[in-house]
Amino acid sequence: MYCTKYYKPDTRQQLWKKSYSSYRSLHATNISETKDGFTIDILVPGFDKEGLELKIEKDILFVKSTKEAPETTIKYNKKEFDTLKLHKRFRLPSTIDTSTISAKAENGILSISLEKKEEAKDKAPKNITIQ
Amino acid sequence: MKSVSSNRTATPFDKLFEDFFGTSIDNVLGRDMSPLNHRLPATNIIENDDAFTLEVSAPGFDKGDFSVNLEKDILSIEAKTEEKKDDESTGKFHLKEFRHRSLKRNFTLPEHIDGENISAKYEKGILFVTIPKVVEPKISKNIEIG
Repeated sequence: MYCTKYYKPDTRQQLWKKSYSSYRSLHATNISETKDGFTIDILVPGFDKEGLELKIEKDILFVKSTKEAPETTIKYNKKEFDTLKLHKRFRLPSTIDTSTISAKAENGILSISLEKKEEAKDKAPKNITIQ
Repeated sequence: MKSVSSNRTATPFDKLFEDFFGTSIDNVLGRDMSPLNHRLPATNIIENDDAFTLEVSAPGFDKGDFSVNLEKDILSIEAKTEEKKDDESTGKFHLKEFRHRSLKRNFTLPEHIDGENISAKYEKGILFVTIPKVVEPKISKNIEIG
């Protein structure tokens, strides 16, 4: 059984394989900012909330896989992605209130929400009446 | 079998470009080329005694977004979803490595597979497609010597 080429491996790419795979990461990430906080969306196909661990150490958010390798190894005819390993780090800005972190994993997307500290939130423009 | 769509591959130059400018060349040129938002999803293939299993990475879809078709010996897997527009709720993107639009990938199936009983399920962002093999009755026969 074979399928359309995912990418064409050649020696040059073999040499660059490490950087290639980390660059073209399976766990692509979107980070967006609203006026109240940040959202980090990570593609995590094959993971649910049981297989993931989130940890904040100082200003760094770690996202790790807690899955262990199965005892029986699966023999793949072709393997283009891995559903066991995951390790991501994010440096959080000081404007984030780390106690408000919340996350959900749905359909292979891990969505992490972080709220800004009260003083860092964009306040609505205030009109000052002239007396 | 031909590839279903042109798939530009990453070159060492891309990596250099990204290291130097801090953004990928695809971003600069407005292209959208990372493997997961590209039309060719990364796929694992497992073969057992009685079936093949495809694991197609497709995070961010719903079960109803997929269509799996078998035409002669070509199995095509497609998924489509509406992309969320950038607005108040999504905010401003600092990093955008993926988008969701569509994916498509074709597979040429070998002989001796049971096309009638292909099944698929979507779980944790992976589409699992099971393709059973045709079990041929083993013929063992003693031949008498006359």
